[in-house]
Amino acid sequence: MTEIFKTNEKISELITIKKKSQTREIITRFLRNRTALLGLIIIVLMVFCALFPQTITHYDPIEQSLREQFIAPNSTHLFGTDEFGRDVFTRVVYGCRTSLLIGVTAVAISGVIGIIFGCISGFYGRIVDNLMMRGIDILMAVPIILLGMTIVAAFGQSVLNLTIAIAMASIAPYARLVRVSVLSVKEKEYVEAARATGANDLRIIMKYILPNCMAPIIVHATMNIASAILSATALSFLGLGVPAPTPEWGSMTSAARAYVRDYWWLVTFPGMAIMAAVFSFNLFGDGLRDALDPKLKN
Amino acid sequence: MKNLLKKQLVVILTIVFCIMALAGCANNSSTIKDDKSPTKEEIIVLLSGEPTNLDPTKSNVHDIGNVTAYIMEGLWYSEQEGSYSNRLVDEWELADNNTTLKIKLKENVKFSDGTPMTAEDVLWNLIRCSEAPLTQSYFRNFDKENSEVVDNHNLIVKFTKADSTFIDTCASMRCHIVSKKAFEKDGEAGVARAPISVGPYKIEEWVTGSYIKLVANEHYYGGVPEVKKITLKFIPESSARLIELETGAADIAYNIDPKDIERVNNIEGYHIVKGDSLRYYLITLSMQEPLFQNKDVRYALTHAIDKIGLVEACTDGIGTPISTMAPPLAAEGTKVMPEIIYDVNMAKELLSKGGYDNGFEIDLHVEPNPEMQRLAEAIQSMWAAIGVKSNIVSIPLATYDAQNGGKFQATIRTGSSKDITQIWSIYEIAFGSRLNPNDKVLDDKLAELKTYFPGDPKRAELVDEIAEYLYDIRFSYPFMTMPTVYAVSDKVEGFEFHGTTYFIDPKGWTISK
Amino acid sequence: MIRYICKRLISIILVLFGVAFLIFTIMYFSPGDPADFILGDMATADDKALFRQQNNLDKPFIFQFIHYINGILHGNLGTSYITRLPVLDEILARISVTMKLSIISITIASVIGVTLGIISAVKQYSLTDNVIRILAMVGVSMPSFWEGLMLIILFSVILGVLPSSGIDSWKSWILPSFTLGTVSLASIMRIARSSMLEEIRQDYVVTARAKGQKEIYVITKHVLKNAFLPIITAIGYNFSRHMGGAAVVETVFSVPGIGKLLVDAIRVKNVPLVQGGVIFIAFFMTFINLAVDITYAFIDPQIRSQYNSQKSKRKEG
Repeated sequence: MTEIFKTNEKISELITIKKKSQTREIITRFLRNRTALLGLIIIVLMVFCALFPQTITHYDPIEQSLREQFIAPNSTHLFGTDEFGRDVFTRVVYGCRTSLLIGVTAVAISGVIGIIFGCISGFYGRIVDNLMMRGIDILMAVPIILLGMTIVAAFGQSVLNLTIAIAMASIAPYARLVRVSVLSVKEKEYVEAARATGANDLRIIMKYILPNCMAPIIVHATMNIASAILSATALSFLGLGVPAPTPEWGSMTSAARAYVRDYWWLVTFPGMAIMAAVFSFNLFGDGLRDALDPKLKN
Repeated sequence: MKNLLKKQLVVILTIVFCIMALAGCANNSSTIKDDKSPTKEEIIVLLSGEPTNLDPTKSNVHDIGNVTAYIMEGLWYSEQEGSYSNRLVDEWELADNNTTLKIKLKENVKFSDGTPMTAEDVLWNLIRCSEAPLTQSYFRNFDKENSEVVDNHNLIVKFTKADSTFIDTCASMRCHIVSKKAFEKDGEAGVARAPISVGPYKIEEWVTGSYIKLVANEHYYGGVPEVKKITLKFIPESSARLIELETGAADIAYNIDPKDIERVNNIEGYHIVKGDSLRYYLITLSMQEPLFQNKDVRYALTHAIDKIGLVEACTDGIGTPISTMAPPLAAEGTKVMPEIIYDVNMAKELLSKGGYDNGFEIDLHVEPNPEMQRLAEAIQSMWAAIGVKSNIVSIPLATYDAQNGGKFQATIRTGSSKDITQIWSIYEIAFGSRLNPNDKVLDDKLAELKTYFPGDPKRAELVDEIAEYLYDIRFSYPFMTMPTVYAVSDKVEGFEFHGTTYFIDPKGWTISK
Repeated sequence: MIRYICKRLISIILVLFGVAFLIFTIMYFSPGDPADFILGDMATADDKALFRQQNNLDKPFIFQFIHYINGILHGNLGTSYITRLPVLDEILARISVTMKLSIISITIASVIGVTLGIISAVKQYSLTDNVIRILAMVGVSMPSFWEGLMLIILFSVILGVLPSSGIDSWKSWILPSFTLGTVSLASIMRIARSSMLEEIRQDYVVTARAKGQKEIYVITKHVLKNAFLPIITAIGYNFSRHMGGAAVVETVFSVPGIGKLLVDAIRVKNVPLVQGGVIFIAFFMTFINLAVDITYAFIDPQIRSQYNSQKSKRKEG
């Protein structure tokens, strides 16, 4: 008996070691990808801006200073000032917080809901599956901007509504990914064995199904943050997103539209910030996918 | 293999071409020909906003007046320098202590469909105006039962009480005359999209979202205008209007942004026409809002406003701060009031005194356009400095009204009436909107004012009294006026400045090649 | 083949029904009484009660929904609060503009995208390839409204060669189309590239090359033909996206299409127009996707033979 336990221990040790070295492999593969690294660095910078903006800039992003409007970029105002005398650099930095918050929250919500839907759909098969998949098709049929516009039109302009709208439109891929994973794993022998030993559905999901599809989910989530930020800024640009005076890159660009000729810095910098954010998440996601790729093939 | 490829290609190309053909055919009617150089016969005017409805009784917004100025006329006309000149009216006289108005109409006035305009049309229009929800408040003393048509060109208008504002009301776009027969045939939808009226032009084509094409009204009583076609294009962005001017694609543009004024003057072949207007801006606080019942609170809110900074910053220098309860260009009511000092600390103290140490939260409603949005954000910031959080709601008035059951809180609004009783009609209980007025004392005074005609010493006295009262109760804070700015091509002659865009008179325009 | 189309049609009808339900439900809960909107604040309570009764507004939700669906089937999508015109008329008046914009932009995106994709695949790992790939990445990351504004600054303001708004001349279509097509361009390019790469690695290419055929012949005759299917799918998918995503581009360039119509409608809470418009676009896009799917099935020999063999099996059986 003791021998069997010892062997089991050794096997688990080996498995743990194998996992560790696998992770290390992934990380090394990722780090070797220079563009992905660049993406990661920018993301870290943005997170820093979001969490500790006061360390980067001492101006207040909301307080107006009407007599200092439209100052061109100079040493005291790196990105110049806007029509209310607010420092544009500060507003761009604080805008990180808004965009990241919306992006990450929306993706988290849609990811969780999507995974749950996918599990239920895959597990309880047939009718439930059909219903859920039709439901997802319905969500997919409406373009995200239009869905966002509808929700904001109905329930008003706020960060919460914006986040919900984006989350709703993003559920589908997660549900589909998880569902495929569930379907393929459901009938395997080790799952049956696990059931025989009394494991309930939740445990099976957590132990066998999720780890299987975690990799593509994470990759997709990263790219999803990028597109969520794009959607959020686009809706804010249309006047349907974050209300004034919260600094948000999309609404800043919208307000700057009238000054496109005279005060170029009002349009340029918020837009570049959006691009940098989206670009970095795309690069990071690409790099993640490449790094995790060989594992997927296995 | 080869055949398969061919087959695939054929299928794809067919589908693509079908779609393109459909789109191409469907689209032909909605593009203007590429005609950059205006001919002698056409003028292109750029407007900032498109009206949704041309029915004079339907909307109070400036956009509709900009268009109806070309196609409609009223009984009288409001001249820039202040007087009212006869338009459709030939002669008029007041009698019976000013409760009877005898009107003799011009005899040669025809609608754009050729039918003659009669006194019956006019009376019908007046009655319609007096019954329509948005305009009925201007007709409260109008006695429609006893008003009557005498013959084809004469009518008698009766009032229950003398009404000194009637001529001004009729001169405004709200009471332009449209054809009764056309209304009976086409109904409200007809008046909304293609009204038959008596102006120098009529509508030929209206492409929603793009433009309205006008052609000269060959039945116009003043003689067919020389310029045969006018196109009104809707371009909401001022910088976009500017670009159109620079490329020579338009001849006249309304509402040039302050920052673009110099640019227009620098464009070869264009110049700026600018002048004072009756347009004034004010902050209003709803009289029925619980938060505003305490006078200290209202005083606090107004003392928190940096008027000079606000005006300079938000209008790029061309606005003028005012300290009167009516626009300075109005004939009456322009007594200068003591300055409301900008003092944040005093404002905070007053707020405390009023019982709101921790401030409160309110809606600040403005019409959706960039100029108002700018003002709203600045005011939002100034109020935030004393602890009052305001949410800017920039949706059209009608929508806000419908959503909130007619209840307002704070708004920023503009007014551009000339007559002092019209200007102050916003404080009348029956007006309802924005201020939600409920002050009976004020209401009585305003009603009394209407019965005194200009020249009566009692009128001047009452006007000052009301101005002081309004200043004291502080439910409104008029803070600036703006000039009206047009960009006009050098080729256009006969363009006469008017401070109010919906009194622009196009019939005397000519354009050289 | 017919069976496939029928199957797809049925599932599409279900989806469209669901879309109508979703949008209707969302807008149903929006605050504001339609009676207030349409009749104005001077109407009496009795007027409003009558109005509500006439328009079924006092009936339960399900009843109103069925009434609405019934309306849709008869071509009635409601009446705009603001202009009082039928919603369907307003939409149809603007749909051709958006269609034209979508078609022009997808054409630009496809032509340039496929070309770049092929070049990139053929010259894999070269500098050209890397540059193209980075540009594609940038294109996908760029917010379309910002891109539009930057293009306006460059071509309208600084160079003065292209108009910045409206649709008066053929020149005014260039900037909006390009802006709308950028993301699709990048996406199509990527798919073209990866699809080509996959084909290039196939055995028959090696064979063809071994047989001594010229490189260009190999690429166009063999590789491209087989790589085309995923590209077609990508083009179709992106085209349908254009219809939905034109809202932002139309707003930036003041193009009077359906996207701008909806944005303006939402600003003023014109519920019927928003409802009708979004449903209409969703329907439209779904049908375009269906058309693409059917074309794909029609062309792809695998799917065709699958259905053909089923037919022949049944004949025998």
